[in-house]
Order: sequence, then C-alpha cells, then structure tokens
Amino acid sequence: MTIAEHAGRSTVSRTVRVGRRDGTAVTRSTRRFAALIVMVLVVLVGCGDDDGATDEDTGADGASGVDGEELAGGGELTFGLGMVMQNLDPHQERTVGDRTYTFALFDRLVRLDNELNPQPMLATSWEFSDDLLELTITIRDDVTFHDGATLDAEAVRVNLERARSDESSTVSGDLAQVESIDVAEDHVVVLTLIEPAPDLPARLAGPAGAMISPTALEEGRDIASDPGLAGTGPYVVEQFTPSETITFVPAPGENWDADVSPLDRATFIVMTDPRAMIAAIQTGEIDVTTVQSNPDRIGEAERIAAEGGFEYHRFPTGALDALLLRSTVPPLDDIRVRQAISHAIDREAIVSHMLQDACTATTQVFPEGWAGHISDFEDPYPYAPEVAGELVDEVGGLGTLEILVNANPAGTPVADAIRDQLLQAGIDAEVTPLAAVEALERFRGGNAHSWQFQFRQSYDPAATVLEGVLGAQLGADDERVRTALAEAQGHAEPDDRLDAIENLAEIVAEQAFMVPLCFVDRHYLAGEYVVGLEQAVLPYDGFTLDLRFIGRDGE
Amino acid sequence: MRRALVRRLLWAVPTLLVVTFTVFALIDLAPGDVARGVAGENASEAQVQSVRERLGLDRPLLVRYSDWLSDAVRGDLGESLLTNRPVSDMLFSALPRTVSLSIVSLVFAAVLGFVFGMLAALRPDGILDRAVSAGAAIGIAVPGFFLALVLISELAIKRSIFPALGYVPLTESPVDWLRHLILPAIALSTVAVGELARQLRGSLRDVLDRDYILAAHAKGMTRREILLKHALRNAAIPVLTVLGVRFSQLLGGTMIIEQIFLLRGIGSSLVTAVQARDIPVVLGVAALTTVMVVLANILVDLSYNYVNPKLRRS
Repeated sequence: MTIAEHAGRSTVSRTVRVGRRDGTAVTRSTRRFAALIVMVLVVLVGCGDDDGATDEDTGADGASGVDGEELAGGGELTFGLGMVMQNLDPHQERTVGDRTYTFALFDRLVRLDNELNPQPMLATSWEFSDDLLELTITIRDDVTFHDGATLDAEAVRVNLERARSDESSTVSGDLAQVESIDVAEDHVVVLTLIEPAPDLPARLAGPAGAMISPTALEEGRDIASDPGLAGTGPYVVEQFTPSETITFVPAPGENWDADVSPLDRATFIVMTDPRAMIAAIQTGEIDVTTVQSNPDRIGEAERIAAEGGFEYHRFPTGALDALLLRSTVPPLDDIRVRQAISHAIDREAIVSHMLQDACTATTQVFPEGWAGHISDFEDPYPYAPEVAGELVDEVGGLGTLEILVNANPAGTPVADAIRDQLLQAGIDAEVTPLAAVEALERFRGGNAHSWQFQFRQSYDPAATVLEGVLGAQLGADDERVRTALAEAQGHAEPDDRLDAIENLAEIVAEQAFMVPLCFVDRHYLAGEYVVGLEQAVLPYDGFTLDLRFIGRDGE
Repeated sequence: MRRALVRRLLWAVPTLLVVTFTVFALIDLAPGDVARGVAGENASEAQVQSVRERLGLDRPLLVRYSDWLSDAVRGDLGESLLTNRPVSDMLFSALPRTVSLSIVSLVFAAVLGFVFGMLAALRPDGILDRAVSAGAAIGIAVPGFFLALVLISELAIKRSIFPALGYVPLTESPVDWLRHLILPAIALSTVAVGELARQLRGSLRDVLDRDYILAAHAKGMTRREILLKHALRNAAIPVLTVLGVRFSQLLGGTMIIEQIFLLRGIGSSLVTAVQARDIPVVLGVAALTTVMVVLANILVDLSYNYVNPKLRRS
C-alpha cells in the first residue's frame, strides 16, 4: 500500500458500520449473511435426519437378523453401551447393569430359562423339605475355579454367607429368609429358612448365587477391581478402567460348560451420548450398541438398518415404566387418592401417541410370559377422569401432587403429560426434574409423593413384591399384600404357585401402589456380522447380555 | 519481572483455596444423598448409613474439607467414591487428553485467527475483510456441540476422513493422535478463531494507522518487513490477552466436546463426577483446572515481555 493509498483510504467508506469504531464492528449486511449461513446449516442437518423414512417392509423389527441356530462364538466384538461398570464383585452389585460384566466372570448356582424356570448351572439339583423351611442344593463335582480352587459345598457356603451377611454386600436381601447355611456332604449344602421362600432358587440365578473362588476371598483379593482368576465363568478380565472400558478374553483351560463358545475378545466401552453411539457404529468403531428408547432414535436406527450393513433389534426387558406412588406419604396413604390418580392417567395416549409405541403399554405389573401375568386381566382403574374427580371430591381435595422425574436434557415429556392429565381430572400436580441420585433419595426417603421412573422386577414375582412393593422400591405396607404373599410362598412347585401368584398380582394392582404405563424394551443396533445377539440378551432381563453364545459371522 | 512472577504464584494459593472450598461447599449443599448413590439402588437404609459412616460423610463440612486439604497438599487427592480409584490416577490418565485437545484447539485458533485477522486487516472493507467478519460471526454464533455433530456426520460417517470418536496417545502414534483430535479441535476452536480474527483485525488496523508505520513506509521498508517487525508485535498484545482468556474458556468447553467425541478427558470426568456427587473427583478437577488457568495467565504475561521490549527492561 502506498502512502497515498494509505492517506486516502480512511476517507473512503461505502459500508454502514454497526457497533464500535475500533475495527471490530460487523456490518449489517454481513450479519444478515452470517444469519443466512447458520439457517442453511440448520436446515441441512435437519433434513439429513428426515431422509430415508423407516420402511416397515424391510424387516427392521425385533425378529430381524440371523436365524439363531448358529450359536457361534469366536471373533472380537466391541460393544458401546451406557451401562457403567464400576465394581466387578457380584455381591456388591449397584445396578442391574452390572450383570453383563459379572455374569461373564462368575457363574451362578442356577440359571433361568426363557420361561423363568430355574435350571441347573453350578448346582445340579435342589429340593425343598415338606415344610419349605429347608432347601438342599447339590453342587457339580467337576468344576474348579480358574485359580485352581475347587467348587464344593464349603466354597458355596462361604459365598452364600458372604452374599448374605458381609457388610459390603448389596444382595443380602435376596437371602434375607436364609437363617443358616450348612455343609451336609462334599457337594451338598443345606439352607435353613426362617420362612418359606419357594422363589429362592430363582434368586440364586442372580448375583446372590454367584460363586467366587474361596481362595481369592481368603487372600483378600479386591474382586471389585481385579477379579483375576477368581471365577468359573467363560471370561476373565484383560483390561479394566472403571466407568470407561473393560475387555474380556476367554478364561484359561476348558470351561465346565461344553456348550459355551466365548468370543476371542469382548470390549465394552461406556458411552452415554446417544449420538456418539450411533456415529461410532456407523464408522465401525463399535459393533453393537443400544439405541435410546425414544421415537427419534429408534426411527434413526431403523433407517440405518434399512440402508444395509446393520440390524435393528428390540427385546423386552421386564422393566416397568410407571408412576410410582409412595403410599406411606399423605395424602397417598388414602387408597382413594391412589385410585383417583390411576383413573386420571390415559396410558394409551402417552404410549401410542407421545412415545409412538417405543415401549409396550400395560395395565399390569408383571410382563407377558412371566408368572403373575394374567391373560384376561381387567384394569381395576381404567382411564376415567370423571371418576377421578369424584374421588378427589370425596376426600376433600389433595393439595399439589409432586411428580419427581429424572432430569433429562431432552425434556420430561411423559411426566409433563401425566401432570396435564391429572390437572384435567382436577388434581393439581407439578413436575420436579432432579438428578437421578437426588430423585432416588427423595422418593425412597419418603420425601416425595410420586416418581415417574422404572419399577425393577426380580426374577420371581413374589420376590418382586417382597423387595420391590413392600421393600426398597415402593416401601408399601399392606396387610392384604402380605397375606397374599405368604400364600404364594406356601407352594414350592411353580404350577401350584401360579394361582396364588396371580391372586397376589391382582391385589397389588387393586392397591394402586403404582400406575403402570408400559414395559420398557431394549433396542439394539448391531453389525450384520454379529451372531447370537438374540440369545445373548436375557429374555427376562433385557438389560443383561450373556456373552456365552455371541460371536462374529465366519469365526 | 521475577517479582511479578513470584507474586502471581503466591496469589495462586488463596485462589486455589477459595475455588476448592467453594466447589466443596456447593457440591455438599446440593440436594441428594451421596451415600445412597454410592451404595446403589438395591441398598437398604442400614447399608446406606454404613456407607455414609465409612466415607465420613456424616462429619461436618469444615472437618471434611480440612481433611481433604491436608491430604491434597501432600499430593493425595483421595479416592473416587464410586470406583475407589485414586483421584490422582484418574486425572493423570484424563489430563493428557484434555491438554492435547486444548493445545490443538489453541494452535488452530491462533494460526487461523492470526491468518484471517491479518488478511482482513490488510484489505480493509474488501471482500476478504467482509468474508472474514462474516466467518468470525458464524464461528462465534454456532454452538460447538452443533458443529461437532455436523463434522461427525459429514467427515466421519459419510466420508470416513476422520474417526468419529476416541483418543490415541501421542506416544502410540502421532498421526492417529492428531487425526482423532482434528474434528473435536475444530468444533472447540471456532469461537476462538472468530474472536482472535476480529481482535487482530481491529488492533492491526489501529497499528497500521500510526505515524511510525507511515514513517516506515516513507523510509522504504517493504510491506512484509513493516508487518513482521513493527505492526504485528504491537498488535499482538491485546490478541495475546484474548488468547489467555480463551484458554480458560476452552477448558470449560471441553466438557461437552469430550462427551460427544468420547475423549474421556477431565471435562467428561467432571460431568460424571458432578452427576454422581463424587466429591473427591470434583475437587481434584477443580484444583487442577485452577492451576492450569493460573499457569496459562502467567504464560500470557511472560509472552508480553517477549513482544514488548519495554516490559522486559522494566
């Protein structure tokens, strides 16, 4: 630039300056241009999500994928899941999500089949005494832990005692009715009970029945972070960074279960951002991921599967999305109030219109296929806002009902819809979004009326009622329920218990401790080469993956 | 200068104390029982109480803070309430990722901001100047997370040019290290690029209007010599200030970007820890980031000396 140009430059200006005169101003025309560019970007990205509408005929449903007969193991797979792993000790389980990891390392005494019937695992058989106060369990005599310790009756006794009474155990509730555990023979254990518990074998299919090497326990090994060779499961841990990643490799030696075909390597990466999970599977950085259970994400997964290379799966979990009611907190201690709330909620509208059937609507507590599910069940409190209003008038008003909900950046549409429906029925309600730990503490501490959350099932309906309805989840206290529960617990054989369980289910429904909305399904997106995912997802616990039979095609 | 440096370092001590105590108090006062979160959803009331006592959560706030502080000055930041991992180990593994992301972002911001700002300043009111101004406005306006999703969609999924997520240590593969950081660094640095470009454009224009620049022209110095020897140095001081401020804001912005790109740096560790009320981890991150910001500000002050010889002599 010449001096002349420099001298003349400052006198020439054809633009209108907006803002300061120190050279950092932005012209009006430039701002409009910038705004236009931003709008174009927004539209482009938005259009990208709408392209390729789900084609129902391409088979992107829960039954898609391989025929399931080839339970092939082998190969390496990477899973991107939201289930955080922090503790690998099955007796210190913090959430159901831990089981994918602990079940890979530690076998249990019992497993459940697709009908939730207990089947032998490390135990070969079990038998109740006539008075149902003793359970005799026979253990396999051909199993050793990976560290060389023998699985015998003493090892089982040590583990059950640990699960039952160790101060760090979070599964002691599953063995609450066990008074003592005794070794009868080398491979026979006798559990003496304080009251009948015919569902106890089913509970031993959970973490309470997991077996850890007694040698490792005696040495004080830190099972939570470094289980080493302390299990009998098909896998051992190769690498573990709590809350981040874990890698399993096949355990050394031959597994006692000849049917097991483990992967050569299974890596789990904790991922909490649903967009990151979808991106990761599309770029091949992971092979299997869960899909967030909302219509947009499910639609996106179906579209990706329809484009080829991937399969979308949908599995039941048994978990129940419900409005949980704290029946010990006034005014919900009055059953008429709980009945009014139940009558005021139109679950069909919520599930089919708002959630677009992302879950399965229900009026019952127990899922189809589970004991306690009644095929001809009649909802005692169908949607009837006028009846709700009459009940509210009868009790003379309720004040404001507080609905807790776990805070979510995407909003709380279900809780908001419930609030609006309650308002229409004349029940004043407000939604309080909270962090999960805070909502848990307030509701279970009896400091809130209701919580729109998931009601977790146990492996047996009686256990669900005992631990969930009467126990930690709902904290209800009802004599009719206790009587029905005792009746159900008086039968050891499943067929004999069935009528009693269904009666228990009806009474629980009548007492309106919760308003069932829908059964939560688990949605997965996986590469086409992933084999056995249908077998890996436990049918009674869709949050848990059993890695015994999953593999890669061609391995 | 040395005295100023020592003074700065000494001031860092009360700064750290105030920051960590404030964070400690805020976390402690937040609703929600930490013990219940640690004990898990299946825990009975007795177990929750047992956890509370075991972790010392039933002691007064000041007692707990002073215990933490006396351990922290000896280098012991405690253990995560959730995983029992030493906090220092967690931060040690997370820090390189955040530092890598921050440095790459800062380099992007500095290089692009300088280049664009300089081009705009040399051609005032021209097409390039307007394009840079528009681009700066867009860069400042577009949220980082939105840009991150667009970049992933276009450059990782549709075109497989860059990986969508993850981190590779520099020592493992420098090329892969950089490839994994390019997209998150772009998403994180656009605001800084915009601000730096605008700041440099303004300050450079101001310097180029000065008499001594005119005199330099008159003496026959080339444009390049004038720019590099005189103009940029004088224009750089306010830009360096902005750079220092942006570094602090970059650290805050890493939280969302790290989650989207699964980088597992201290930002995403902090998000997880806050949600779970994992107090030792939150405090560790707060202390670490405070130290980083203080050091960054000291570096900015030192850079003034390099740029302005008068400060060096004084």
